[in-house]
Amino acid sequence: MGARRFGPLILLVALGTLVIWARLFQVQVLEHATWESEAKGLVRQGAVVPYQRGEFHDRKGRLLVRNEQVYRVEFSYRDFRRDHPLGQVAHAWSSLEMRPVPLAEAWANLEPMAEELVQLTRADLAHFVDGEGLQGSLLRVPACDDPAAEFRASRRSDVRFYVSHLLGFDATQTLRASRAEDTSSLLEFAIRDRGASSADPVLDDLRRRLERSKRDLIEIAVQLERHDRDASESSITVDPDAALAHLLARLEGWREDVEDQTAGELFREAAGFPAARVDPATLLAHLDLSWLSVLLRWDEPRCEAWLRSSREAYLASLENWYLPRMTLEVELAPRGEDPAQVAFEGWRALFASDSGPGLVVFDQLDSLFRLRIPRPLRAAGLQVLPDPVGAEPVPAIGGFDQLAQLELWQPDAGGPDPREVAELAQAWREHLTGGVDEEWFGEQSLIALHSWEAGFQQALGEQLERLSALAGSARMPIAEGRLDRAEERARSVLKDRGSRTTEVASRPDYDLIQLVTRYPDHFAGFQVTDGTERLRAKDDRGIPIAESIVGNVRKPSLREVFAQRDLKRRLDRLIHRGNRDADQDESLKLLVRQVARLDEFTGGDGLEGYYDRELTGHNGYHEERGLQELADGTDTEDLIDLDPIPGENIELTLDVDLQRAAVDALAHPGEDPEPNRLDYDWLRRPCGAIVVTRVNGDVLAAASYPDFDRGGWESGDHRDMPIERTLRMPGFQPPGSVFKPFVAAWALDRRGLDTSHLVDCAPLPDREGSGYGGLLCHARWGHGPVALHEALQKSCNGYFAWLGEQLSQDDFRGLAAEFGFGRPTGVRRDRSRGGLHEDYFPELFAPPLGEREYVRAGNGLSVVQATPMQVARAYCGLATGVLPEMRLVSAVAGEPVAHHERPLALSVEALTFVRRALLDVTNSPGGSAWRALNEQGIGFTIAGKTGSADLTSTRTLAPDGTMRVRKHTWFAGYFPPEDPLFVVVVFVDDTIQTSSHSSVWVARKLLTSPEMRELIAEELPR
Amino acid sequence: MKGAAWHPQRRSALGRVLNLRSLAWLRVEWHVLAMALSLLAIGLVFVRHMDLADVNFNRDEVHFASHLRKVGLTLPFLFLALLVRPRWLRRNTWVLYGIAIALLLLVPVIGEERNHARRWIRLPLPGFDLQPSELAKLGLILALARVLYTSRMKTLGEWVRPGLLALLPMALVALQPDLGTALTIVPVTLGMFYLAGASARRLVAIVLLAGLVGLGAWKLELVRGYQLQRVKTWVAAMDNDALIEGRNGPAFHTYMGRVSVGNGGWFGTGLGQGVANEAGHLPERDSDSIFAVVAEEAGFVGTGAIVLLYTSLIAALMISASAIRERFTRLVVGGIALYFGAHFFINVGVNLGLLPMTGLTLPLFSTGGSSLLVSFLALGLALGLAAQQEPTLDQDAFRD
Repeated sequence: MGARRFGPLILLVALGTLVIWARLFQVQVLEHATWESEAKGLVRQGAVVPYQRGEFHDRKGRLLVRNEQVYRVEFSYRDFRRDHPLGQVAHAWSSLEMRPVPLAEAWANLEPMAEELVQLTRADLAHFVDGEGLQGSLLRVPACDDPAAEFRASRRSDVRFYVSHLLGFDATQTLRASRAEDTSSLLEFAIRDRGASSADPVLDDLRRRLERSKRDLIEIAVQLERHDRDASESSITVDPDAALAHLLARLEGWREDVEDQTAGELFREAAGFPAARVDPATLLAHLDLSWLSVLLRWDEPRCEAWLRSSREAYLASLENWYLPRMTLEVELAPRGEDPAQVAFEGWRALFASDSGPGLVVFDQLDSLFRLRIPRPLRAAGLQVLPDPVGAEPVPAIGGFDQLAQLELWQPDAGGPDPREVAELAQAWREHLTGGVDEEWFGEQSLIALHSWEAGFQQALGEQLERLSALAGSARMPIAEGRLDRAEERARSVLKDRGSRTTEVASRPDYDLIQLVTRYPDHFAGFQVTDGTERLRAKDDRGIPIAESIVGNVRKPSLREVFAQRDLKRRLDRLIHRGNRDADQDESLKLLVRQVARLDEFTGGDGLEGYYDRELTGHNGYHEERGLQELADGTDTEDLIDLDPIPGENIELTLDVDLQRAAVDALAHPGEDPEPNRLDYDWLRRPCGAIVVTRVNGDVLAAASYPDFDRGGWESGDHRDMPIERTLRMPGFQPPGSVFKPFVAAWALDRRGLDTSHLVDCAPLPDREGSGYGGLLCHARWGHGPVALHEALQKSCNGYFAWLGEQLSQDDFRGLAAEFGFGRPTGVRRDRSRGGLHEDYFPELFAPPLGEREYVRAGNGLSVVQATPMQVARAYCGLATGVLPEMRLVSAVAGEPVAHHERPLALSVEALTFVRRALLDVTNSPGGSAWRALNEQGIGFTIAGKTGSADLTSTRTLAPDGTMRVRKHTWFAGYFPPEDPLFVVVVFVDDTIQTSSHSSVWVARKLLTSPEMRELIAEELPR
Repeated sequence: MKGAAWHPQRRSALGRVLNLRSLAWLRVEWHVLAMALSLLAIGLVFVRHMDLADVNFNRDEVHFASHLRKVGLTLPFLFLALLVRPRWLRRNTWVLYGIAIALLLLVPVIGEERNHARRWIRLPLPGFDLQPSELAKLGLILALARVLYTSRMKTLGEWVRPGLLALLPMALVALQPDLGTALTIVPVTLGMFYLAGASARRLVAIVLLAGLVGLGAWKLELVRGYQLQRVKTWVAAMDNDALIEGRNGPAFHTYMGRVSVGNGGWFGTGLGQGVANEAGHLPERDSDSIFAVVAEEAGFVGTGAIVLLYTSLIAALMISASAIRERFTRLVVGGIALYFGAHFFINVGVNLGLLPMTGLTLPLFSTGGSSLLVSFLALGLALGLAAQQEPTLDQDAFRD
């Protein structure tokens, strides 16, 4: 019988063998493709390859904005602690003494500590592992009863690692040293290995290397300090000791960051919730965190410091990160979804567990500890926060009522008062429906969150007290299965966190780059990397050229990140999935193209914003070969190698040289030779704009000044703000007399104005000054009887006041439309796009004009406003008879941007008359611009018109002793007059002098600049 | 012997324990020894390549030299056990069992805590720690054989004593806590019950009852959270997509093991070339999960052959046991075969996802001094007992 009984057992073994074979076949053969892909995924790394954003070129192809490879110095703490003697000594010492030895302490004792470390014998370390203490001249390691709990074996491995590297062992020597059977120290091994007769040569070599490492660290500290202080001048000296102290503090800070992040991740792995979620005092009182301290070689104060800092960061993130996100969630809630419900669910999510009904942390308590938690204790008291959803039926009022209840809940007071609930629910409804009142929502949310948080912490603390009493110990150990998981991951988490680099210096100078790249071994931890920066061409002052027009880039906003978060999640899942089928590969490629990187530039304002779509390229994706494939040369055709698609380049109509010249003309304005006619205040703080354009609308220069902040953002004075002024109107901005030619042309063409009709610009009977119809003329005693030509030449306000009275509102509306006033100029053809902004008034001349407003309208005052670009466009039309649409961009991706224009519906005769008059403005004595802009003065002939427009009736004392009102002044002109090619508009913002003493001189500065001469030489026929 | 009076041989104390002179060497099942040593050699090769891979990838986890040293220290015990006299063994079963239980009782007192479990007793030998639970299995086999030697397991009463004998070490091991090891005692115990004559139907009923008890323990949450988690993880891991999805959570170990096994394909990746060794993510590569490494590097063909070799060893031990006329010895050798069988099928079952995760080594393959010691002791005993069939007049002498 006995023997027979083995038969069925042997049969069972045979059956078991078959089952195993079948399972092996299933997994290894049938599912091989799946697991092979997963295996490849384990050793395969993929990364998104950034695209290059499109560039901006000026009309001559010169780069205005480009992406440039820039260098950065980065730091990896892991490399530092493994490869730098200071890191090696500090961490070896920490491993022995079980405390975070500060780098400063290690620095101060580098040689003695290092020598003591290398002389530790294998026997010493074996005793250490056994739990015995170690005593050296500096080393103090107490004995312990439970060496396993202190991970002494693992710490010994760490010490041997660091000491091997300290002695400069290569991989082979390290291996041989680890396998050496004797009990000698690594120093003795080194002596034998190098064939030395005594320890002296080896120790001397060690000391030399330590000394060198110290010198090198001081060197890099000085270089970094110089970089931080932008001390490019050699005259600025840096104190090496101070620089070193600063660097050591930074290194210590990075070390803390790495360890804190590691601790956070490991704690979460073990506990199932983040440490920051619980008050540090509660955690320290009730949880045994010794395992974490041991893993990270911390002492208790360090552990406490981590808990406190992570809790502070969490509470700060509630306000700085969570609330804006919550507000956005509520704001972006789909139509029909109750915003109060969205808010309610959002708040609950902070306290609710991911794994099902229950509260975060609380439902982990059940399995968190080694202690068996009795059922009744678990069940009772866990639901500490009211959770009306799914429990009691909710009153008909819905989400607002829930929100109000939750906000009003207090842990000690029981349920909230129904009246208060109703009132608060009403308040919530008002503030959330029909648009979120962000400020109110934020305030209320913070109140509610803090109140919940307080209740939550209190309840958690009480629960843990009860458990501690049950366990019979204050600090309860975490269950071993959970700790196993954390310990399994400890090394890889520490490695991962420590490997993440920190930028130490951006765009370092050559010396720093040379130092780190030429001697990488001397500067372990530091590395030079390159990246991309968006660079703009700058002028001599270091200010980007045409910044207000070209604009800036920015990083994606929170809203934009939110909008694509689902896509991002899908992409991340696909990237991390080792086993992808063909469809998933295609999805990955598509998503890579769609999803913006978090560090990706996006157009902010100006043309960067307007042409963001074209400038933005598409990211690529590259998967690197894995270790296995490298080992056996497996065919890697299935790796994804998707090239990025660069953004399109934009060709501007702007000319970099002319732009610089225009800015310079504003920054250092030309001055009227008569000192009494200067506005010194304005000259000290110039403010204005210049437009230079071809008559076809291609803008060659669009300069705004100031182009840097002169304290305007703080004072609120727009004249000191670097804002765009060629397309925008920061304040009241009438064109003044530069509007008169259009009034004249219209009157000639549409009203049959008699060019010989005289209007008497005479002294006014009732007050000082001259003019007509109550409107003052700039000529104190008046111009006397003037006809149109002379009125234009001398810019007689009286004549045009009379002319204004002759025109109807429809006339003004018509002439404005004809010449483009109040209309978009065409720089933003596609008005659905953002970025570039332009001011215009479609309602110009729409409201009925009052009686006195006709005289003003005729003079381009009060009821008329225009930007320099609108004025430039109008003068293009005036000069050629064809009104163009203005262009800042000539081509996108090599494709020309279409020109648009229309002929003016005005007679050639009318336009010709006006043009002749404008020629005399600049080239006849008596013309308002003659002194500054005559042919002799500037070297060529320009026709144009000056303009002044009062801003206020308040008068300011001028240098000549007169009281003058503040005004804008203009000059608008074109050249050559016989066959116009270019238009120039100068706008001076807020001066006390008339155009004849301000804007024309700025114009002169520009027109006589070398850049303008070059343009004339290139393009004007001789 | 004509005219001579027969005097029983006087043996020395050692001679009473070990059969130093008259072992029938030709009766030793050398093919079983050869199979076992082949498996040992194969295991050594894999561990060696793990060590080499560690050096290549700058890790310090697997130490071949240490493993070889432990093999060297423990292999002589195989030959020592080979020589143990069956009679001495039978007479001193309770002492040996008592020692095993005493060691189990000592573990909480003098044992070393590692990974939050107290399972090892530090020995003076460098790097060698004794795991009493392993010795307890051997002690239990002897004790069960001793009790079942005179029992046919026909009445319920006959179940009680051996049942209690088995429950005692099970409980002590489970309290360490080491539920996995405790549970491996079950198939050995039930198998020996069967070999002793217990009804197969009754055994099936016990298994079902145990299943119900287990389910009840689960429902009443008498098992610890992480133990429960292992069952949940195992169930979830039956779906490959779910396993892949949850690879960074509790199913991490299962996932890594499955990837390694599956990556082997038909012919394997080659020694030291698998992702288990290269990436180094698979936990317990050299002990509990060594089968996954073997599967990856040897492939279906190679692993299938190793499985065949191993199960042949188990079957050979069983055949060897079946040929033993003396009941006690037969039960011991049978128990040892069951010991190897239980370990093999449970360890491989876990690595293939057929069973929930449990920390059990694979004898002759896994590193670990205690595992080697007990494996060699067990093998030696099995081989020696089979070769030293001493004449007895026990009941089975006249049974088939």
